Amino acid sequence: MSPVLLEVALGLIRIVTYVGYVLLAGTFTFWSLVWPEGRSDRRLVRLAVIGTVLLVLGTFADPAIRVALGGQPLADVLTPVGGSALLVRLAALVATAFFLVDLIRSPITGGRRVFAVVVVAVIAGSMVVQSDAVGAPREVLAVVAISGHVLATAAWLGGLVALAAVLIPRDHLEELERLVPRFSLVALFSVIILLVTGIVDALVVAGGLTALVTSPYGLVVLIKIGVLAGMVLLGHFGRRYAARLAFRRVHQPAELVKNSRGAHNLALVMGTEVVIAVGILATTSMLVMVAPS
Amino acid sequence: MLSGTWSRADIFRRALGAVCTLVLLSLAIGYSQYGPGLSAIMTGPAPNATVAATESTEPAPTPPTPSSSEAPSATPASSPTPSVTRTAPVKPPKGLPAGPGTTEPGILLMAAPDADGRFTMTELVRLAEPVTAVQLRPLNIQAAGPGLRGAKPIATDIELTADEQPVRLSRNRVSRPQSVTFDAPTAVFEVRYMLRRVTVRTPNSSPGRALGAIGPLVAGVPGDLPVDVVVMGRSVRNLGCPSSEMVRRPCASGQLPRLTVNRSLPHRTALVIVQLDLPRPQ
Repeated sequence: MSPVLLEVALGLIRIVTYVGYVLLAGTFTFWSLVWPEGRSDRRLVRLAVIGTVLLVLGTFADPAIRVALGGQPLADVLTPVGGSALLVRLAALVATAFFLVDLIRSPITGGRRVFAVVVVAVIAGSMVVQSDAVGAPREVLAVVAISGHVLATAAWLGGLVALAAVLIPRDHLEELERLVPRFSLVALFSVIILLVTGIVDALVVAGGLTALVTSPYGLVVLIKIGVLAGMVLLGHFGRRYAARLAFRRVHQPAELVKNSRGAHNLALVMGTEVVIAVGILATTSMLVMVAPS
Repeated sequence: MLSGTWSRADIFRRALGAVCTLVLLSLAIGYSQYGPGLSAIMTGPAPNATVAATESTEPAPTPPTPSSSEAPSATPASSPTPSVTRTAPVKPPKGLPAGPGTTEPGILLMAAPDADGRFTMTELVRLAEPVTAVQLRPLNIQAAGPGLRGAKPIATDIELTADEQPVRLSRNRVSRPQSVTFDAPTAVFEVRYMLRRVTVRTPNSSPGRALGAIGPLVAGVPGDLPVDVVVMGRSVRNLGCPSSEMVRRPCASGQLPRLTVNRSLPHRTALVIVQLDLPRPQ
């Protein structure tokens, strides 16, 4: 297989893995930090299940493609650390698959919250171990940056997808008053962490500011920052629409609020944000492929 | 989390989940300990090919690299993939840095590009335990990324010296893996060769700008054997190290015209991209 096709295949699998991570870890984070009672929402459960399936797929497909299509020796693909990380991730996914029924039996608090957070941390850790942060110059800084980035991604993008899944169908508008302020707080912290860790990681990867701004890698980073800024702006409008809706809900009949233009706008903004989130994940996948020469 | 009434199906599901999770975690721990050996078993042993030692070979057009004078360990081993156990410290050969390939188990890879984009290569190899066979394998260019599409690595004019004794090869060019068997177990040997067809001109860039890929020719050694890389030449601009994710990160340190990779690379990922400015044809 030609190197270009191989990279495209690996890039697609990376996107599958990222989307799976965002769906599973994002839903678990959303349950743990924003809406523990939301465990009974079927859409959220479906997101967690889809995320688990995609992550399992990505976990198997990546090494399989490298060996079968890339011609890389198995020992090169499944290094002791990388192979162990994949197995640990699979263990977390298997535990999720078998115990999800128990997890959503009651609100995600106490032991359930610990389980959800541990699963997110383990999966995030397995991704960090496989990243280029390990073994890079300034390894500790790079690992800390990547870890923060991966976890904040789950909290923000994953939380956004979960929130959109709950609010876009307008079935839970009564939860607006509680969910939006809580999620806004989580999103604010996540965006700050994403910005700081993203800048640190980009500088470490590129090898300095000059190398960053003069490389294709730097260009893709700029595109990603632009997309991110667009999302933050949309999030700002989303919060405004949500606040207005929450106010109306107190003063108007529920049916009127559900079919109002504000609810429609909120759904539109959140849907757009989710689409852009997929764009960010695709850009991140590209970042992994682009190299500063 | 597990409160409530337990049906038989629940008990079975939870028990199965716990067992599967624990098995996978145990496998992860086991793989971190025995992973490389497991992979070697799965991929099968290297083929054998015997070559005889000879009295003399012509000097190679390589940079001056003093041969190591260290004798092999007294304990011979037949395994071609010994562990990377550290041995007692020894003095590095004159003019060479202490570290992998000179004073510690590992490989010191030295490369000097010429005006045509070929590389004159020298590999100083020091293993933790003596071996009776070693594999020579051409560079796996797949990991270098699309910038080097079209490169077809081939090593020519190969000269192998084991314990300062030249080893005659049946073929002195390598375009596919081949094994070399030593007459006596050895832990220290040196390979000199020309690495060709690994340089590709970079389109839409400065005139003469090109990328080349280098990596060890010696294979069949532990995947975590450290490899130090030195690249010498005024045409060299920068070094990049592709990773498992196929990202190429700058990894040069030192001053031109002698750049080194800023860390020891594990043998399994020891591939370095050299950015070059090839001179105008004279």
